Amino acid sequence: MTLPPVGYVRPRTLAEALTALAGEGARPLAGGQTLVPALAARLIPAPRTLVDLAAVPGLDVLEGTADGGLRIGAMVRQRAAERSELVAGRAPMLAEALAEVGHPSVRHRGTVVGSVAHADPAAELPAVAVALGAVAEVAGADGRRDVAVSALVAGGPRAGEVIVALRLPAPAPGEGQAWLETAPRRFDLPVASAGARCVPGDGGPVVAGLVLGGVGPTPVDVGDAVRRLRPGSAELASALDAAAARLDPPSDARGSAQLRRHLARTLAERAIARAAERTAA
Amino acid sequence: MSARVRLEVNGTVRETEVEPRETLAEVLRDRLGVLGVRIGCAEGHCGACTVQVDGATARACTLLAVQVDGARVRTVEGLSAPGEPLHPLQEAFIAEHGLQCGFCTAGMLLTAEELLREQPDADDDTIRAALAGNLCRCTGYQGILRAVRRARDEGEHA
Repeated sequence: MTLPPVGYVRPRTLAEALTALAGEGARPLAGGQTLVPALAARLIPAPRTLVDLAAVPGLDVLEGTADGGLRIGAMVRQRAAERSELVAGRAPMLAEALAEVGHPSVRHRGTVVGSVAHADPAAELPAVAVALGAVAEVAGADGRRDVAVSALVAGGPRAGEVIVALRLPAPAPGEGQAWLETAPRRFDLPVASAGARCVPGDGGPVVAGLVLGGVGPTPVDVGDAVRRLRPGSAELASALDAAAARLDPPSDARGSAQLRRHLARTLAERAIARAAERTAA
Repeated sequence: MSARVRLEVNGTVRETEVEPRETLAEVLRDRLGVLGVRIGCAEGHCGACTVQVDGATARACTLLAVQVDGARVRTVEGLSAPGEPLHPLQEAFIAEHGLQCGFCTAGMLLTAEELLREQPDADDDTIRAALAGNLCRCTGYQGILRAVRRARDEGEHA
């Protein structure tokens, strides 16, 4: 057998799941598309108990929220989100990024929330969640709390806790979004990536947000450096140069720091241009 | 620790004891004798172990059998029964030399079957993208692509 020995429970309610997660060495299991290969490759220590969330009622719900945003339950499969008209309309960056996450056979099982919980700094979905200002509903033995994904990716959920759902705020009126990445082969984990948002301004679109992936220990939000600047302007170009110079990307077999910085800078400019094209006049 | 799982494998209900750490691929091969499932990398990279779970492709090496308790599983043995005519995709793979050593073939067939079932008119780029997660270490990709295109063009593949 490929995997190390693990325990497994399949609770029928969230309360049961939280009780199981409070146990020593327990870890939540959603689609398992990161966790199971990581266990097979011995990349992480074997949890004592995998707490499968699949049978907990309500976690597979993807719904629009009253404010025009989205709520994505912990068991919503990536493929379901990718094919959802709600996602296409309310979080187009997520839909665009999902099409590049793993292969369809992986997306059939993998979940949006699970990928965000794993918080791989190069993976698409944690970066998209940060770029869209997502908030995680985290449940634990002590109750529930809301945590911005931008804070969560630094440490992940605590032991004993589980992300029940992600909430994405509504896009601004007329907002355009774009996701771009460079991967050695299509559907592979990107080496670098950029998610950009633009909104209508006086006389044309202006940048509303920018997050870069694969260039640090977490997705890097450089929105403050570029917000309100005009796509294609000299001001934006120099702000992007400065932001890229401040990055401290990792160097490894998949890409040198220099390559990652260059890719992030280039992808950022292109993602902003594409988001601007999609912004209402 | 062991658990009992019940799977409908190619139309037949099967039950077996498993350890939670056993992958669906391992259970299909080692407990149920369904040897058409190939285990290549065992880490979700190569696609050789691709099966269909409740009609949708999945990598049987990245799923624990306990996760899919109660599911319908289709393997290459479910494409055409012994003694019956081959599935049109299988015929196309033979006609176009879409297999050499055959190790990747089951995963290729199940992936292609899903594609043509969902998109009977898939264009060539769509076929390439759909098969991008299935590696052929004989590198016989052109024959495989020709085979799927042939099956598409001849229709009646589902």
